[in-house]
Amino acid sequence: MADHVVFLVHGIGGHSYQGLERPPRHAWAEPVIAAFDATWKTLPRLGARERAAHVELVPITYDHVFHDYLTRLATYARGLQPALREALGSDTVDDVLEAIGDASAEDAGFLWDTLTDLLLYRLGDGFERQVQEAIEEQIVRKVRAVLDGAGGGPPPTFSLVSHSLGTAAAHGALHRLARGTVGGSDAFSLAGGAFHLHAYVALANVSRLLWTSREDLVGTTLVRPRDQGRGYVDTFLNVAHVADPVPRPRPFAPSDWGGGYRAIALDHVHQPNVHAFEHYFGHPRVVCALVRALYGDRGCTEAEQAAVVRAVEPIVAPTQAARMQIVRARDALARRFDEAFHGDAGLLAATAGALAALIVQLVRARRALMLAGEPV
Amino acid sequence: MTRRGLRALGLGSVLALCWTARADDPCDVPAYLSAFTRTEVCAEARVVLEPAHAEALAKPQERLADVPAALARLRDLATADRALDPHVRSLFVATLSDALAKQPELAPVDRFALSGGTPAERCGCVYAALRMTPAPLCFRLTDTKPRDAACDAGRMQVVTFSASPEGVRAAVRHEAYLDLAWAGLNALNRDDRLAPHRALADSRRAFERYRRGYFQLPWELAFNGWLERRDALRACPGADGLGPCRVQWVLLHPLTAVGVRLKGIGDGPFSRTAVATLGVDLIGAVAYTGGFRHYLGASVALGFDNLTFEDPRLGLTLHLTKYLQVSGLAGLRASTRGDATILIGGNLVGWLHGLAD
Repeated sequence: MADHVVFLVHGIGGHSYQGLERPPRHAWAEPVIAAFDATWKTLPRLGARERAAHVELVPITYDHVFHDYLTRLATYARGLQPALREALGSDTVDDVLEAIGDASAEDAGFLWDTLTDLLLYRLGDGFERQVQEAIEEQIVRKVRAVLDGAGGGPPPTFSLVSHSLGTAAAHGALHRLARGTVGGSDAFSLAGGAFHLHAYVALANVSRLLWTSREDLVGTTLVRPRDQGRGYVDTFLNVAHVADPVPRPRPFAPSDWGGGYRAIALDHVHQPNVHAFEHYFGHPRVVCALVRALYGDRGCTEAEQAAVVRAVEPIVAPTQAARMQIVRARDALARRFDEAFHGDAGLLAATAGALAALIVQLVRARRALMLAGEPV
Repeated sequence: MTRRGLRALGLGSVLALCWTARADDPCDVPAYLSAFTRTEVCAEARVVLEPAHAEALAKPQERLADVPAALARLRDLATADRALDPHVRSLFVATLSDALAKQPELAPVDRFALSGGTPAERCGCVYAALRMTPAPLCFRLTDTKPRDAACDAGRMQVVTFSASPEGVRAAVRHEAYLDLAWAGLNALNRDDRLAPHRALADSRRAFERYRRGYFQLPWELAFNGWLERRDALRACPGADGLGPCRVQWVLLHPLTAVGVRLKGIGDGPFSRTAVATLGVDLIGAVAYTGGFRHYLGASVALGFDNLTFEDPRLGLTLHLTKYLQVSGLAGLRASTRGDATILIGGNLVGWLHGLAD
């Protein structure tokens, strides 16, 4: 039995095309776990140890909820298409239905893969709750399996790492678990006192943006450090990349959450998609912070963490010129985001402006890499 | 002192460590059970050994005799209350005494083997076995520095022991006690963990059936979601509840159906013709049965026979089961007033997926 069980909750996009299968496939987690393991091996105290013997990484998938709906929508559109074609005789409507009919395909594209997840989660009837319950169920199932099978000796702790849309979904799920009884049992509630999370890591946190309650998330959530009184986690790590626009609107930035809360800013560029789960989770600053939350100095001291971070190349590019180009693009993006998302005002305009800037800068960065002969 | 006497003294020490409380100082807390109720965090808690408690260990058979009754009572308590119930203490102390008596050599203190360091250093901050408590416990010796940042930050409750060999032994036994206490509580909580798992699995199945029910188009999802967030007209389970809402609204929902067109119902020559009709459920609602397997409902419908818009018909659709809906539509134009169309449609999507499932 590992010392720690760490759940991984994915973000937006296609993560399970076997949604109707049970259990859903977790292939999405393979690069994420590989990125973590690669950095684990560089830790002075733990690198020689097998990671899985100490930290069990457990993927949690909820994307099948969205994919199931899109599959049904596609079936519906294909069923309606012949009648509407004959009734309306419109090529446009026919094309739209044709496109909807492909909504659940693996190569459905950005719109179906990502934006629909977001819209369904935020606006769709019951999807927010269904996704959160899917996460709750997978947590509860694993905790049961571990604790029911635990013998003597200290039990493992439980932690969770979430990314992007997963930060909102997991935060909501944990808040629900902590808040009250489930099935008449308070085995997982804060009041019950029998379960809590050791560490909670939010990568590209959009919890506040997608929080649907009228009450302020930071002020009301139970997913906060326990040294703040009523808290469900020991340590809360909030990680954002300076050039990632996703966590910028309505940022999650509590100012008075004490020592159990820590904000981490990343600025490395190892791939064009700085928002990717593995791009966040593979960085030694994140890995060391998590390991320190799990093991304290016995896992990684601050000095060791600094050394491991120093050893990593912040910008991965084939040439010095390309590297400089990427640095300029990253810094320009960061500045633009700082200006655009200052405070919560003008969210829509700021988002549109920042996204436009993002596209321009990504095109420039991509061109820089291509000029340097590196296919992107 | 005999070996039996030494064992009794050791067990008595453990018992005292875990049981002793001094109410006049909030940081003088019972080492383990108090953690359930503490909200304030003490940077350091003193544990006072009281020799009188050693006497309780002298007659283990008497204590163990109460265990089944205590266990039966505990099973009826809520999880949170178990931690507060004095029977928990007696149960675990009895369990501990029994187990320690069979285990003269205790297991290593720290599962996460440290590289180097003396046993005393390893005891510097023995990680708490009782991680299920709101405030993790941390042990340290009086003359060693905390080994964990959480201890430094005062986020852990700290129990101090002397750095003498006896103090180290006490710390080791304390850890063993916590292991046993945790194992006991864990066993007691097993049933409590099952209930949430079952409830969530039931809810997942309910959601799956709901999604296979009356198919919602994107604007219907948005409309129903809007109502749900306002807790209006949906019969939802509430913020802490599980599963989908019982009532689902239908809005501008197109469908195709086959039907019978009846002409001359009121007067004139009567005729029946089979037609393919494009229908639209303008607005309505369906309500789901207990297990979300079926639904019943009605909606106002508009129909266009033969897939043309020349002869619109208005009427009512009854959603009778998951797979069947029947519409009665009447002609709107003066030339067709008195005509009717009876449509029989199906939830094609639900049907296909229902069969597939």
